[in-house]
Amino acid sequence: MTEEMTSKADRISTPVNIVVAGAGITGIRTAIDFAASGYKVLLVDKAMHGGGILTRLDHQFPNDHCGMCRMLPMIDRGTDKETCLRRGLFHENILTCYSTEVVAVDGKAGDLAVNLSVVPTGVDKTRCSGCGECERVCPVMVPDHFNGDWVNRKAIFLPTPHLSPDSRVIDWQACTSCGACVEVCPTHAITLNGEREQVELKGVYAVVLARGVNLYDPALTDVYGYGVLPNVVTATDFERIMSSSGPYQGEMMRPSDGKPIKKIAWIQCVGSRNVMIGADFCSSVCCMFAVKEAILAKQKMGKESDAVIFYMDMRTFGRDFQRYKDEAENVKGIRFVRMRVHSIQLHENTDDLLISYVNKDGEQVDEIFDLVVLSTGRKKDFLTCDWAEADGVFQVDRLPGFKDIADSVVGASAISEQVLRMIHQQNLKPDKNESDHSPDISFVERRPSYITVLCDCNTSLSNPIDFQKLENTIHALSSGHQILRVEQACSKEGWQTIRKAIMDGQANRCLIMACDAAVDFSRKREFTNELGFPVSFVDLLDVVSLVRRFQEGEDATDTVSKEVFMRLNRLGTRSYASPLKQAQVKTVLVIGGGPAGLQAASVLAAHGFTVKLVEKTDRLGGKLAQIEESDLKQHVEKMLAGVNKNPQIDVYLETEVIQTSGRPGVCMTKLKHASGETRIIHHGATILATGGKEVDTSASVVSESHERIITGFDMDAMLKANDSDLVKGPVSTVVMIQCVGSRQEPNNYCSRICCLKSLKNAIRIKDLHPETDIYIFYRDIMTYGNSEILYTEARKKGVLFIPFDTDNPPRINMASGAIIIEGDDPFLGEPVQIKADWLALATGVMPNDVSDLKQVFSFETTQDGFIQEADSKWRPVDTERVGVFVCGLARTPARLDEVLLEANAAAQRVLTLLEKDHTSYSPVTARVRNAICSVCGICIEVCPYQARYMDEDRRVVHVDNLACQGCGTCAAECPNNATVLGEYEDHGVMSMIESSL
Amino acid sequence: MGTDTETKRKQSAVKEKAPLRPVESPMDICLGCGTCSAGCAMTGVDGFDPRKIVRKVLMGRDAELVGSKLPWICTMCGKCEHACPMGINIVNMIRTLRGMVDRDKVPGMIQKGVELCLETGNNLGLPAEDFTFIIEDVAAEMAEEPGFEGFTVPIDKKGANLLHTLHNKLVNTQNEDLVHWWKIFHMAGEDFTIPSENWEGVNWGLFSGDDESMKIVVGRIVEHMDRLEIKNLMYPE
Repeated sequence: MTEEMTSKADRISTPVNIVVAGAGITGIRTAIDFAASGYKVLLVDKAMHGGGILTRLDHQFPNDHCGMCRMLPMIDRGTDKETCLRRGLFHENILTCYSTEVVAVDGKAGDLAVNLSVVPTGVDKTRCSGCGECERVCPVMVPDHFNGDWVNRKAIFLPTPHLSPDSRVIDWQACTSCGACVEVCPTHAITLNGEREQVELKGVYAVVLARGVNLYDPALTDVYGYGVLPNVVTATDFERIMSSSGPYQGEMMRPSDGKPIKKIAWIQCVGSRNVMIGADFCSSVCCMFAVKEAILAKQKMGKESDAVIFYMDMRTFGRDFQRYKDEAENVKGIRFVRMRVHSIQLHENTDDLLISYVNKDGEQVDEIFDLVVLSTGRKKDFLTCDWAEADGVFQVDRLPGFKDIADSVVGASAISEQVLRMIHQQNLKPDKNESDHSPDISFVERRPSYITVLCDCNTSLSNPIDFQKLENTIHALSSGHQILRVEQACSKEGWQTIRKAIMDGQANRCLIMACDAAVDFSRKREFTNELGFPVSFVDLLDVVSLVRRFQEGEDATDTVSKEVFMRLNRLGTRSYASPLKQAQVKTVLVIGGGPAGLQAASVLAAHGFTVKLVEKTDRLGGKLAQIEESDLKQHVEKMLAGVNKNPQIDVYLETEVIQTSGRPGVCMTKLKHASGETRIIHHGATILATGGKEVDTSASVVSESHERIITGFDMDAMLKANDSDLVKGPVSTVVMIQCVGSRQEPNNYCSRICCLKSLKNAIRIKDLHPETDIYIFYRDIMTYGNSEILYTEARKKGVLFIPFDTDNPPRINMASGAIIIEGDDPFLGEPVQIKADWLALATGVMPNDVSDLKQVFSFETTQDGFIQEADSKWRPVDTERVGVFVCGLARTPARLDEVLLEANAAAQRVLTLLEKDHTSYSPVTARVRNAICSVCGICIEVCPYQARYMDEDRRVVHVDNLACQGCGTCAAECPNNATVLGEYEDHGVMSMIESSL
Repeated sequence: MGTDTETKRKQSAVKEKAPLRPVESPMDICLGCGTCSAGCAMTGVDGFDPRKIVRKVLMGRDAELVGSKLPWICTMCGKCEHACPMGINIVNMIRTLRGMVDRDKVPGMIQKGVELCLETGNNLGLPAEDFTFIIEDVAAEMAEEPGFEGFTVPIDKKGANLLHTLHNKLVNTQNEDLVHWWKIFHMAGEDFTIPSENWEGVNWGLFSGDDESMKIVVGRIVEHMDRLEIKNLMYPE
């Protein structure tokens, strides 16, 4: 067994509580959830890197930026490296292991044996300095699949461009074992043995299966020429074309001939919504994905460019998506053509691509494009494995679809909650770190005594640096400095030498001059814990990167000396304050007694929390009566009964929240009953589940009421009542109109449920009365995911669908007492006129009014009154206010199953906050020097995390140390320097700057 | 257009008659996506547009379609249904519509061919003796070429290996194409034969939507094979 493999197996066999299989976005989310609660997590992936599909994307809709890092813990920030997640996931409780598969899971939940099959990377991370020499000398070139096979890569390479440089791996299929890399590696980090190794873990509590989806291979669709026509690419390929880390460095040039791209077509639904290939589903994300790509591409292509999206229905079903699409169309000039493209042809003898289609006037049009992007959805078949159904395995998606980031993150946290519930119910504990490592105060408070460790990296640094001269300069700084020369700080021996020198020499400030590999994140933690150092008393100077700037033969000593000076000066000014520990109140306030609130309350009670459930009306259950799905209805009814009986849940009906104070973990809130009586409750966190309601916008299309013009909700209710006219029949003709008052200003969002409701109503009517004619006027049918089958079923049953545009909606004529709907059939270009027995208007939903609560909790709301989450992609159930969470219709229109999932996810976020008895905060937080603070309040306004508040009685500004993320905005804005940021106080930073001059 | 009776849907006869493709695909399932229209070479010709035709069928407007020229514009190439994501059998739908047209309204040439074939055994109405004369004459000419000396065409040969039907065009104007086939048979030593009557190798009932006549024409070939005890058929349309 090689050294490398020993080390990898060793690393894995440290205690593991939970194994997460699949390191895409859902896997990462659950891993962080468990890690934040103190559990040891092993995160594995079959691929050579983590991050899944997202590693290929630089931007996400609808905000066009990344922000993956926002998933990292915001409390206990010292536990992770706080670095870009695309560089890697570094958390003290998470071990990541790629090219690794779970092959078997045996035993019972809470005590599992998990077998892993590990392919070594070939590169020992603990030794690799990330210098890249190996890649430079590697003689093997293979197509770089990550970048659409347009460029080549080496056999030893970085699997994704943003990864930290010590993450190089060997592609064993490409490697010829020539040994060039082994020879050149200065730290002997490479071993050419790619044999799989089996590792067995015992005593694992649970395994999370986050398998994700594979993308459809468009080469299977012969008419689009993917794989034959070089300028036909997939949407993920196109991300690489646009990326500055992609094959063309972000230049918009096309693969065949490098011609600048000026005109692009997107073709939607490739591999989706196609019964001929068994894909009777919608892949949910491709519409928004295409809009985003079109916007970014248009920006990059500049003037005189054209971006066209060929689509059937633009599925903008997220809360903010319709406005995003409208802006793309009306402001950014993206063209949307409602037409499924038949085929792509080469234009004459060029590489240009010809698409023929029929325009709105029914005329055949030919257009020439530089590039065609296929919006490929998910594969029909899901990835599966033998152990998926084993006891103790939690599947993130039993029926996985292709989900956007927000839905993935919600689904992931919902699973984390279930796993932790099992763990809590079995009373299993996290594998704690050996001890609670608070630094030894007497030791750290002593005068600074320095040790500088100089690694010459096997003499490879001795050329650019004159070590004797460097030592002399350091000694000249002050004679008390200890200096230790080591050959390889990264090796085990080097590491032990350093440790011993520090112990013996009694230094309490340490500067290590080596490379990133020498002191990786976990080693630095281990080091400071063992030696009783605060993390901030150890500094690492990555001298390898520093020296790389110099040409061969140049002397880098002066530059390095200066840098060493700066660092030592900075270390001298560091001070240490023991973190405040705060006991937490294990009670949760849940506002709203509808399905979301009931779910959150029940779940939290099951974890042992006390729940205060506050409901404005005189009963719990919310819109229970309207729930269609019988299984979900039963579930909510069961919860309702359970909540009323549960001694851990106190229900306050006809009660509102009128005031709150405190900080995450310790809050005090005043409730007011309808009778006027008030009471104060203590709690650690809050979940806003204030729900929503149907919005009756019928008036926007009908001037007067008519007993047979009803809403979709009414029709649903009628169809449930056995004695209603609709059920009894006969019914000759039913017409439905979608998006009444929705998806246009002022309610410019999709309500998500109206299409499903209309389809279900239509199918039910057809089942009752097959002879009834049903016509549905629609803009875009929003049957995302697997609900597409409802749309297909309705059509099969003979429901006729008639699309319309907002500028030409169907008109309702009641002049003769009859209901006559007039519109246009765009397919035929003919007017239609239908006499209806019943007209159902698909009205949407809106959030309940939360303006009072907004005052109390100071969260933000969207222009439509939904509660604004902290980040719509990465932190969908958090509000900007730490400790206050949101779920359900209060945040976004959603189906009931989605609402319930959000409630679980919100409960999980509460767990992360309150699971530990105490909480401590990061040293990098802001502090106010009250003596010189003028209480102007600017800092409160500018704080992006709402971490500051004014104590009006004492006229002082407080910082909530848990909410504060150490961004420094307040310190920069403060007019009298009254705000200081921990570890970045002025005198320390100034002294560092001075020493560099 | 525009009265409620016209929009009112009827149970479509076209829908009921059109056979199904491998997936269950009555026209009802149409998404209106436009793939068919975009791919059709005839879209825009005299108002032809496959999506419009499917749509009208969905609306039960069979009569309107049957009375129009539209069903006869289609070339039945099948490009539309090759890409149709819902697997709608558009070509069959068109054919079924054609079948619903009164026979005296079927475009002249096709209908005449069908009628002559039923009557005489070939679309040209060529008498049997003329046919035999042409075949023997062409065969004799071929036999003059070196390597094909003594070649004759076996007619109604009992127990042959292969029955060979003929496209009327080959008999009428393009005799040299007959020779190509025969040369191959001769060199390959194939034991083939040609029927003396009902030799027609095209079946225009396919295009006119006439199932009955199609059946009769096919039935004749089956009859030949039974009578002559031949197992293999070559039907070079």
